[in-house]
Amino acid sequence: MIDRLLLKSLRDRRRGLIGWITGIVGLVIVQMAVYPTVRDSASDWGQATESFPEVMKDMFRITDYTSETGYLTTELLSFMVPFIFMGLGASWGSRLVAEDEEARTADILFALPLSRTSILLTRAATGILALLVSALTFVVSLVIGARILDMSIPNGHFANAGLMVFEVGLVAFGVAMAISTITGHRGVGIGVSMGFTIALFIIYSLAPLVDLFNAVGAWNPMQWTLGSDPLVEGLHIDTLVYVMLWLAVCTVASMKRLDRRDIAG
Amino acid sequence: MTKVPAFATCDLPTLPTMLTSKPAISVHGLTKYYGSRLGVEDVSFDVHPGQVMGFLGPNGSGKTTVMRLLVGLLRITRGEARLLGEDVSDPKGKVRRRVGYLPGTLSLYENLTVEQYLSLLADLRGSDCITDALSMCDRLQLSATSPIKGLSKGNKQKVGVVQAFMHSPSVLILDEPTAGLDPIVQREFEEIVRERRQSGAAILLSSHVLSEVEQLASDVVILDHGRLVVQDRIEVLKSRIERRIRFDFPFVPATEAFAGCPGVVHVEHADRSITCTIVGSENRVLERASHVGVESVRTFEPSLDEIFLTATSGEPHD
Repeated sequence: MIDRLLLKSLRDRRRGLIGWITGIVGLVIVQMAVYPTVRDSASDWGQATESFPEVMKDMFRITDYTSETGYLTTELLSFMVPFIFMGLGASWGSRLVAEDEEARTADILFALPLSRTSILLTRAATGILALLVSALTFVVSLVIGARILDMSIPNGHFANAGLMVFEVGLVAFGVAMAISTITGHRGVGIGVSMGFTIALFIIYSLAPLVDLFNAVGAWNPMQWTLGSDPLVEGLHIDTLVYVMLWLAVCTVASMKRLDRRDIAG
Repeated sequence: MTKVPAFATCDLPTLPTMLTSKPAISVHGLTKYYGSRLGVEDVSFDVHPGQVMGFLGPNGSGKTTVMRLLVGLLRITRGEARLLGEDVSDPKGKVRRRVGYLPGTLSLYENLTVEQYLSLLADLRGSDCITDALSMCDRLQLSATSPIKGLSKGNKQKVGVVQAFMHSPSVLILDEPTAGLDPIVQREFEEIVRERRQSGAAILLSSHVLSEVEQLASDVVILDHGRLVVQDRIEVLKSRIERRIRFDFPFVPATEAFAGCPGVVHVEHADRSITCTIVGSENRVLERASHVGVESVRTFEPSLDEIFLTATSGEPHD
């Protein structure tokens, strides 16, 4: 029964997913294509990055820009790809139920012999699966690019990077799911989710400079996810546990509210 | 197209039969507030298996609210609603497996074909009814291979009708089911409703086409401003409101021929005929006419429109 809803939801996400994946792969290709130039003029780049203000280097966690890990971390993992996954998470998380309500297709869907919880969880599984596929594509494109450029970064570290952006996506996904399911409005879900996660990102980025932000870092999901150096360090399972707890809280809040409120129509 | 037998001879379930069966739709003290705004208040009625209940009321009277409460789309503020004996608030909604619902504002998945959409709903219902769905499409002259996106409003409405009926539900909740349907398809729809009624389904039918309700329903519930104002068998309601009977005589009758006759509220004379406006039983008037020497009698039955307007505004059509 419910697997048909999963397949239908995946089918509906198909075009959007292909578009996002194309964008991610394109970004990786462009950034990795530039790396040989950076590597071949390492001393010039080294001097250039040395001249950056310390504040900027702290904010963007710039260490050794010309190394393989330093370059990929700065160009892909410090800002660009996490923001793409925030957008993906917010977009897909906000569609779970509110999209049907706004399109008025919810009247027939929710009058079927399915519990609201099962509909929500099935749709959530679809969104999480789409995020996972996007993260895997990111990892695969990094691995292929690294092979072509003869980089020495282990595949497992690229998997860490994929896990990191997947977790960032989940944080935004959870907020978008909760807000859109509680309010019944997709736009509110996207807006609040993006605003909230960007605010968390800013707090995380300014943590080295602002004592208060540094003090609350342990409670900041962006610190959990982006706070490690995935291309250098091993897998941080604890961050995945935190993010899963975050997602569980958002899911329970969504289920509770959805079960009690009226379906818009 | 599948030929179906005419249902002119289809018998309505008798009142005693319906009263001895348990109601398939049971609503008691149903109240719904949207925040502080009233949706419906203290609405109670039953619909028994094999009964079609006309559900009437002006726009905004609360009909759609009651129907959406029944299928679990809205949460009940107070009161109780049961379908086939089960509380509609049950979160698992298993009872809805035996319920067909056609919403008043129909919206379908536009990226599917008719067949894909119906197949999806059949699977989600856990029902192997796609063959029946396709034969119903055929019957309603609806191409199952057409993309929903390109369908006219009327054809989309047909898809809505098919998805509500395809699994042969025991309860049907139909909100303006014939909106946008052409007269031929409307007639076919009426046949389908009669078939379901004959097979024992309880049907709650909201419509602004009162002639349609009058043809299909044995009973009506009328809501106004969120409250139930009338509930009874149509024939009983008709007997309660003013209606006219014209008596033709072979002579010019005396003007006071019907004076003081119980139930007569107005008398009009015209040469050799008298038209009485009556309320209640016709027996006394007919008896009096017989004594006076009536030659022929013609009754003007009140329409459901008149019942509806009387119930909702107190001003019947004239």
